[in-house]
Amino acid sequence: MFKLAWRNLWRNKRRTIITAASVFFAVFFAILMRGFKHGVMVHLVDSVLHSYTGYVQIHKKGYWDNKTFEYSMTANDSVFTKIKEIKQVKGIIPRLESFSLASSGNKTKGVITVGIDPDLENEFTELHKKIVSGKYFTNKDTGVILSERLSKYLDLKVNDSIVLLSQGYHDMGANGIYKILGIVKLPASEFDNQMVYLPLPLAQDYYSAQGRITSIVVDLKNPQDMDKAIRKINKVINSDAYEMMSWKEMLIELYQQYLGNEGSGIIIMSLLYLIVGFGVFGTVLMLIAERRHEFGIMIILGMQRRRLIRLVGTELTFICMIGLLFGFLGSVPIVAYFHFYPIHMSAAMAKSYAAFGMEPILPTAWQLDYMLQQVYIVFGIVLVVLIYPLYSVYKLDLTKVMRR
Amino acid sequence: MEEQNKIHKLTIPQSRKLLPFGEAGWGLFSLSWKNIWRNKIRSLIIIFAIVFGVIGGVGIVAFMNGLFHQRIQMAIGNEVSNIQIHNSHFQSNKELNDTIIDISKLTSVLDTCKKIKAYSLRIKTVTMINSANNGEGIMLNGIEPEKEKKVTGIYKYLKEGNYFTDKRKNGILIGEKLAGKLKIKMRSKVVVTMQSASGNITNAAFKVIGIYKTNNSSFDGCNAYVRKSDLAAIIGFGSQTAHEIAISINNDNESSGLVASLKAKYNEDKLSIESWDEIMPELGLFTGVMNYILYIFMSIIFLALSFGIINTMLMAVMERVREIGMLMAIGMNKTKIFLMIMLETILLMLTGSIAGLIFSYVIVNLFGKYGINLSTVASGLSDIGFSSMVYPFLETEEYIKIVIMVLIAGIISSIVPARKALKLNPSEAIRKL
Repeated sequence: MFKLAWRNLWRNKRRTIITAASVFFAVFFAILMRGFKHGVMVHLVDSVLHSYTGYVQIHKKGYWDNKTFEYSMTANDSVFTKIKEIKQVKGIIPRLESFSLASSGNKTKGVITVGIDPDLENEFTELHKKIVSGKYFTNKDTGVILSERLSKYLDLKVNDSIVLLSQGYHDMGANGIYKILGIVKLPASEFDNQMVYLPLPLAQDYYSAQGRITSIVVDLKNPQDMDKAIRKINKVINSDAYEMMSWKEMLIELYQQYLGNEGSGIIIMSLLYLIVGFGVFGTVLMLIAERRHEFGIMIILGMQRRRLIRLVGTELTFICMIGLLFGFLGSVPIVAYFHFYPIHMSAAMAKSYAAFGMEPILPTAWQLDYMLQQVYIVFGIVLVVLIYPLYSVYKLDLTKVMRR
Repeated sequence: MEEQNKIHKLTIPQSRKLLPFGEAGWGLFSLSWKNIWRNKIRSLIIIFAIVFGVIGGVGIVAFMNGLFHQRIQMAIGNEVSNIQIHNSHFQSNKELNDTIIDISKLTSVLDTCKKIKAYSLRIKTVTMINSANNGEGIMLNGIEPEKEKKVTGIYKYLKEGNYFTDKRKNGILIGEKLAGKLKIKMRSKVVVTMQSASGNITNAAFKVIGIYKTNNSSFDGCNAYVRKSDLAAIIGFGSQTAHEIAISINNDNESSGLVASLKAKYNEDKLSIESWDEIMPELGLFTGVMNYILYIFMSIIFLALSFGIINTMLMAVMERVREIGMLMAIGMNKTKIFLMIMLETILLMLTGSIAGLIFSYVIVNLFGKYGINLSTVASGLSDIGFSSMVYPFLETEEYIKIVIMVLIAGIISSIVPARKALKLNPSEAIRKL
């Protein structure tokens, strides 16, 4: 049966190619459309997460709801080395984060003080690229880096001093005067007017929290492996002592946007499926119409209708698979191209994008599982679409067909 | 030649000779028309290919319109309003004493402006809010509830309590997210600490009279509302003092125009008058990206449609190989055959366009009235308590533009298969089984 079906395909190459082409276009365009919609969203999420939060963070259990030093952790826990060893993990970035009052002259403002490991932090957020004056510090320095808007409000420049006041670990008073070593410009304005960065040892000193940190950002080699990484981390850490949160829990508004995009994506893809599905339907229907005479003869010569259906069904399924295969292979270079060489937005858009610290590009998502998903969906659609044409062969009215 | 004329005379009544295109023109037309009805399936397929193309194109644009509108409307309706006026120093650091100068002059100007639907005055100050369990830094908004209702829609999003119908003093309305953070409920007591006009730190107790929840949980977590008169008394402001005037206008598109005319009428460089897209540039960003994505999608849709039609037409034409061979054999020249096929195609596509227009109009209006609920499609949304209704809509001229583009795409796509038909060799064609 299969051999016969296969041979039938090649008896009339033109028909086979045209029909396969309709399936090819269906899956090709489906993959492309999905690639673009998902790609733009992933780019947005990536940009936001790389500016501070990261994909996954680890804290002492209860820290997220109670951001106080009571819920800080020791920096040198063996757990962290174990996490670093996980295959999907690129590195871990420690932070000691809290709220302080910053003062200069007679101006006072609430700020976020973050103790960071300068090199590790850099690898993840590329903070040193945002320096606009002064220089980036090292772990041994005893000065701080301010965000630009904050420095303007407090009227401070590089080499001036800033007073920091807060409450530290075990309720010790935290206070200090620090020299400003550098000023960074952060893209998001809510961050830009309240960030003070310190080298981690200095921050620990300031808060009397030696050897302690409040959070660890887990950097992943490949963001798509986040779920895998989370499962592995779960096995390694003690869930009574630590909590692990993904960005979906930490940045709920961003996740809302992400989900909204998925939802609207489904609706838009459905409209595309409507169009391409019908394209396949029309082509198959015409193919059947063209071969009506041939089918009529086969039935008259004694072939059971059911066998005929199976034969034609098999032929059409083969054609479908050829179309799917080539459609998928054909889309791969295009998706890859627009992923690594994405469309750039116009100059005007680029300016507003840059203000948010995001690259003004429209990349496709280079994700195999998403692309294969489209192949499966289109395969399903084609199978459904084949029902009516095959049914019409089953019910072929011989009298009408043989009247030539 | 004689033969050809005879055949024509057999099929055309005398009166038709008086028509503009003459006998030949009418003959071609009636031939095409008959051909269409001879093979209903083929004709219906081409018609529906166009119908779906129109529905697809219209659907996507209408949906994106609705999506965009929903996001913008939410922001304008609840957070930003169409236009905001502040003291020009206020926006950068929200200092308490940067109130709007000569406010009564300004409000009388606003009262006379016809384009303005409503405006409201607000006191805004950054405060610490403390419950028995927790404390948070938030923006406290002192509002005039009756006026505010006409400008923002927060009162529609009350989950519990009331929007200041309770006349007692020191009631506070907070977002659900903030209530969660502070671990408080209705009628809980909170203490709010803030700077007073004289520079001292002062605090006051409030009672929770209502809890609201909008689609934007970060907004809910940072904004609480009290009566302007209560807040003014605590800070030590006069009754007319305000930091912000929020304006709602009748037609959203006129925001920037109105800003320009206000700036001209009331030119005072101590005031900053901004439209919503200047206050929330990320919304403008959103628009820009949506437009790009729309272009990409529409291109893909049209390509998919065109290839689909080329494919279907190729099959359709190949199916008629015998018939075309026959026509060629009896002497119909290739140009006429080409015109006949094109005429058929155009007629079918016109029918499809009109049908598509009607169907898509009905669909868009139906969904436009009842809305599409995104959370049924993206299950995670309801898990995090975020329901999102999109109301698609489309302007009349957009309908027409899309239909015309689909029609053009269809017709151009049909040219290649039609030309293929001409390359047939008549004798081979007739012999085709």
